[in-house]
Amino acid sequence: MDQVIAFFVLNVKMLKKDKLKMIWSLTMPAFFLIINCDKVVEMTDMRFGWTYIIISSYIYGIGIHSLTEKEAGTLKTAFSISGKAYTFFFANLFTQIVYSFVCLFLFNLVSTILYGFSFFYMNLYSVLYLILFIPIAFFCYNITLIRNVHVNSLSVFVNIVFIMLFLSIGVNRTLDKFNPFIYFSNLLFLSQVKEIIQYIIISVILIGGGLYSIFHFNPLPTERR
Amino acid sequence: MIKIRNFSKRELYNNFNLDIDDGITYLKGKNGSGKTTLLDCISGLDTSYSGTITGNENIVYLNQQLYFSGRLKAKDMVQFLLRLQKIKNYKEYYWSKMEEYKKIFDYEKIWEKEIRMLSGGELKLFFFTIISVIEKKNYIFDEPFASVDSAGKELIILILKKLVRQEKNIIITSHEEEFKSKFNDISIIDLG
Repeated sequence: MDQVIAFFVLNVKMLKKDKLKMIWSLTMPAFFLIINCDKVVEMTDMRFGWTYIIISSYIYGIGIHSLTEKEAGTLKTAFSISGKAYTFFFANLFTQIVYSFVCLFLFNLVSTILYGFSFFYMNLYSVLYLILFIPIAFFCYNITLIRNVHVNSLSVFVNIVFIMLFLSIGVNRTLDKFNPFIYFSNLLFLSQVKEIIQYIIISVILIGGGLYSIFHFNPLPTERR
Repeated sequence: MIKIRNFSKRELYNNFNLDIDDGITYLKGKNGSGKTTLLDCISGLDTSYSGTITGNENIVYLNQQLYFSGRLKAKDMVQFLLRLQKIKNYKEYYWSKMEEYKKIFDYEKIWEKEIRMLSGGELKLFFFTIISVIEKKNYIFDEPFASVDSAGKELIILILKKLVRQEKNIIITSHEEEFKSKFNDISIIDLG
């Protein structure tokens, strides 16, 4: 646990130094909220914003961040002391849960002011999403398995795909069927047994894939020595 | 003693055998001779080789890239690395271990400084001191003297001597060979 805390404290300190990251995390859902203000009717319409905030935290804060640190060669000494592959992952996971919670809190505060929804229930629902999306966090660690692609190029690619998926929500009903944002945004409405079983199966697959990458994580950079 | 048997990796090593004695060992070799590759394997970080390496448990490895963010303070790195070793009162621990070297290395002066404000040599020396206070049986230092000034090199040698007195095992690589003369019982392994 000490080793998880060591990475966690370091991550939090780095996040505190990077205020732009939080602004960027909030800008896109806030923008989405403003351009769709005429469509916002009830509290659950905020779910697309929550989904964006949480998934972006997991993709960038867990997948891309881990790959960046690995490729920079910064993990060799730390891993020689800690010796355990999972400590780094869980520290990143806890960091992103805390970070997402803060972002969600601010997003909900703005939404409450704009639309007068219940601040308490908004936070309750968004925290529920935070928990339901944890399998995605595991899956995001698979980014660290990618080789022969420069981390900056990968980051740009992920940015483009991520923003396109987010902005295309509701544009075309056929496309929506293939948009993972829609599926994950609607998790709050799972009610039928079939849907719940489907979520459990998807979660097991995502966590399984994540566990593979956690235990096969190599802290040595592939692009430099 | 660290024993390397039938070690093969890429084109660099083919059924390579080596015994690394207790005490201090200088691993020398030209650029590209495979020093860092061997150290990565000895440290246990790289397991993609055939053969066996034994006696390399309880190890700490100082490589050349350590800091996560230049905007963190020097003390943050101490806190991080010592916490990995389950040391919570990092300031008291580090300061007490480094007190005897205070005249050569003013750690109090850089304690609150951001890492990006330290010179390359200061940074290198600082990381070396943090790793050296971590209690392990085996230490690997990859190029610790690079870009460090003469006073800093003197400090590194003093700390290395202390570790040897404490019966720690040290493997060191360096392109600067002058330090060898400061140790009576230094083993030298030439990788060509």
